[in-house]
Amino acid sequence: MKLTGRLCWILVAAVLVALSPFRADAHLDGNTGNTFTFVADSGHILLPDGANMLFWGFGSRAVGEGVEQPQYPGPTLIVTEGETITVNLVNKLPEPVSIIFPGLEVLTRTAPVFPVGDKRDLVSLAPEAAPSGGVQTYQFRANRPGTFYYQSGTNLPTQTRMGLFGAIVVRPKSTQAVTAQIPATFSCPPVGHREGTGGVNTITSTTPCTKSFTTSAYTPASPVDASTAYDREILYLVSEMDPNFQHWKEFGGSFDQAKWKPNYWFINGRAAPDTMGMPMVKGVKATSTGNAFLPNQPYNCMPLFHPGERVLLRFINMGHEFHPLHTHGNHMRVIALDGNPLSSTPGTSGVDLSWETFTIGLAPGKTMDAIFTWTGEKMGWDVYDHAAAPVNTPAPYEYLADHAKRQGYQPFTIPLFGAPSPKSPNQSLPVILPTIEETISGLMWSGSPYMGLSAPLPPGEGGFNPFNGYFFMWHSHAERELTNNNLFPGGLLTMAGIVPWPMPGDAVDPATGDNLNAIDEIYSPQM
Amino acid sequence: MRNLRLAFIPLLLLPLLALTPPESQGAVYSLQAAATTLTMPDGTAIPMWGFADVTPGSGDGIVRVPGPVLSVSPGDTTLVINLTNNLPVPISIVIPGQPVPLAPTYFDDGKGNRVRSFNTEVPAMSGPVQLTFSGLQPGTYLYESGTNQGMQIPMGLYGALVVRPAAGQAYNAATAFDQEEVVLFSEIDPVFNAAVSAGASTPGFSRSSIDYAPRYFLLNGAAYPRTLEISAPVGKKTLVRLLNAGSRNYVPTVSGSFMDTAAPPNPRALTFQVAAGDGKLLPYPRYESALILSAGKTLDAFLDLTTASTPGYYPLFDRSSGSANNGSSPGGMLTFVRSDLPGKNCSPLKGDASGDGIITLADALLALRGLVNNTFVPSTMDVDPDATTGLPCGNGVAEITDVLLILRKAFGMNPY
Repeated sequence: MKLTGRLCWILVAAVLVALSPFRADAHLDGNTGNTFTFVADSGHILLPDGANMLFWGFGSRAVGEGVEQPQYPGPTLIVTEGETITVNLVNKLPEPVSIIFPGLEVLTRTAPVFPVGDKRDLVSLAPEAAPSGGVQTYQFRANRPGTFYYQSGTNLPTQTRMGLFGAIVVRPKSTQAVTAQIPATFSCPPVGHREGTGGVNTITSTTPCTKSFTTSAYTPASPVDASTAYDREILYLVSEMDPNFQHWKEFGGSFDQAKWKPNYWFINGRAAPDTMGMPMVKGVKATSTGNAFLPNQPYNCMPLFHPGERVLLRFINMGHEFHPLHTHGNHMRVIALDGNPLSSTPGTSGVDLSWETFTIGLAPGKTMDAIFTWTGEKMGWDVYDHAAAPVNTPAPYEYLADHAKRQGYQPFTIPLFGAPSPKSPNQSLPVILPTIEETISGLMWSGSPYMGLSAPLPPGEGGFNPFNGYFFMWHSHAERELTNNNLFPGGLLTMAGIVPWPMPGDAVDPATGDNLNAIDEIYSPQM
Repeated sequence: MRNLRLAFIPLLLLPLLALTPPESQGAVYSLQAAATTLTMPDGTAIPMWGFADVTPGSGDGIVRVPGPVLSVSPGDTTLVINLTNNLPVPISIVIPGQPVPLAPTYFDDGKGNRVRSFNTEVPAMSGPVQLTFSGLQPGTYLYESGTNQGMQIPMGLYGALVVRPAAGQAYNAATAFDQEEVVLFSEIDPVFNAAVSAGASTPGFSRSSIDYAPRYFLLNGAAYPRTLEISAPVGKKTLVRLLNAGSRNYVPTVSGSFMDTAAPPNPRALTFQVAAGDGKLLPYPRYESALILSAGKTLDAFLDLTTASTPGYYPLFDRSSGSANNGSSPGGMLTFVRSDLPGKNCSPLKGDASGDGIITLADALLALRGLVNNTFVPSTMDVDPDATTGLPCGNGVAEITDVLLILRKAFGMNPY
């Protein structure tokens, strides 16, 4: 079964090299540096149902580059703790624009300007850039690490709905490694095992199982405090649009603002299933695999990680409604709110105030950081199908108590050619499944319920799961938000892919020699 | 003409002053529930039901929405309200979160125990009836009608109750404050209120709220630009008592930063320190820039500016759906946290010597006259910009530069 699976996989992989739907990055895409030029301009975004809508957004232009398209959302700024960041705004829109940075230590004026001291004339909450070419400079000091945002401080109800916002990620300046002990209930990877984006984290000892992290969301309070350490990070910035409002801004007519009601929802500027498409990021990697179909929506949201890895989710809500965001597959642990770590004394070792949840109620204007991890712990059966003789070595982070376990519950396997499914010794009633020619598979079904294995599929099916991993839907639990203008699926939906660890003997990409299970080979190092 | 202008000054200076909750320190209030009208900044007049404080000697008798801020003496735990009802419907008062026994009133229709009011009722057009609430716990609470809440609360029958265990403390010594402010979020659907106001006197009247769609959003009963400032002075720890009497969730958000007194001065972002919710003290405070103020919620949050060395005028606004006046912006739930240097007025609106809400040539002339006649008013005329922030805190000296700055402001040149 396994051999067949892997052989099949090689053939499928050869076909898929060109498409490579999952050579998508799970690290943060954005702009680094400490001086940015933002151009506020209008453009169009594309929706999976074929619609396009006007938006207003910020685009970033570096020295020597030409004018860039505005993007939705605005550029993610990735900066380092302690730096002074300058944002030069050039406004090409027909009304004034300004930028505010809630939660960040702004050095330029944070009080509004009231022309002639009349409250009724208030236009912007911060100094503004005049329409049609006006400029304004903002400066802030990235005093503490965390997840923050910027948005327009002018005509807020309109300009934030049009798209004038973006994320700011502040990385800790401390590069001190943080160590954590992996509980003995899990299989310890070998010493030197590289984990995380770019392989930046590693196992340093197996007795006890110890992992060293070089990446943390917040400054580690002590050498043993690994509570905000992570292997991979994902930006999860949600927003909404009411197409009637966007059309009114583009074509005129009338619109009752009190009746604004979204019908499109976005993660990182894209509606599902475009959330799972390829990103388009200029200048980040030497070989840019751009997505020409969504030129103004460069970011995707396609988390891919290995079992046992810690994924940092940077949630930001730039919409105007609350969204209940849910991670299938496991709880996540909320570790920070608005860039403030959940400790009784942030910045020093204090009482741990973090909590576990599987749905966060993300309010508009809030950021939340959470850590997610998956190991298949306590499923009650061996997810790797290690029952076949000889019994295999446990996979990294495999839950040892379930290793080689098959009794009690045997997950269904679709029988070939009309043979009934085998009955497990402890099953009181046999489960007789339809044969393969009578079934329709889910999009991500590899043919086998086991991690890393595939099985024959009917002609034309499959191909969306080249590494035979598990996919969990990470989505808003307000079901209406899973649509694109009434069409399902859409909106606030993406799939988190759990990719089996690369093992010796795995299939490789014939073109590059990359182990197709090695996400690390595909992603550029963390910025 | 001059007398008229002078008469205006004290009244219109009110928006410039810090908001302190008007309240009686006594534990016995006389309140009157009556109809009134609120006028929105766009001129729309909306019928409302509110409470007037008619306590002999301290109440001003004005029907307000929200109702007057009630409190008891520090350490006191009993509140008595003598409630008169001038509305055509029965009303009652409940205080969610206070462990006070209720005395529900039932429909007298022989159909069984159907509750009409959650607490002791005051029938239509009657009163006063004495309502006693004992065993009060410290914290910030909403008082609201306990009768037909789906209709009476949107009409405006709500207000804030503040209970302090000791003077200057929210819950204990660790939650002591130098300054406190009450900010009550609420909303109005003008269509709903007009229908209720018109039909409430008809026996058996009812109106569904299925099409409830608020268009106006208020802080302490006012929509921007009429919202009052929140005062959080430099060097002080300010307690902001937040309440939401609406049926939507709001997200109060602060933006801005100050320089602190550490050497070299470090900027600090304005951040809420949430100490308690619904009158329950958290074991440890939470630090957030945006708060989730759900419908019916109360939060006690500190703005700690004890190490601030620079003044500020920081926006505080709702980031969800409440920052417009019937779609027109800026409006709704927008105000400013005014952080002044000790003894100074640092508001960027300063310079309005006449108090008419706008800086014109007349204000520059008033300032000039003030210089000449020695009637210079520093709080409105001393506008030298602060070196770090540019805010017009003034330098404490009455001089011609102040007049010139006000003149430049009047011509829209934005010197501060």
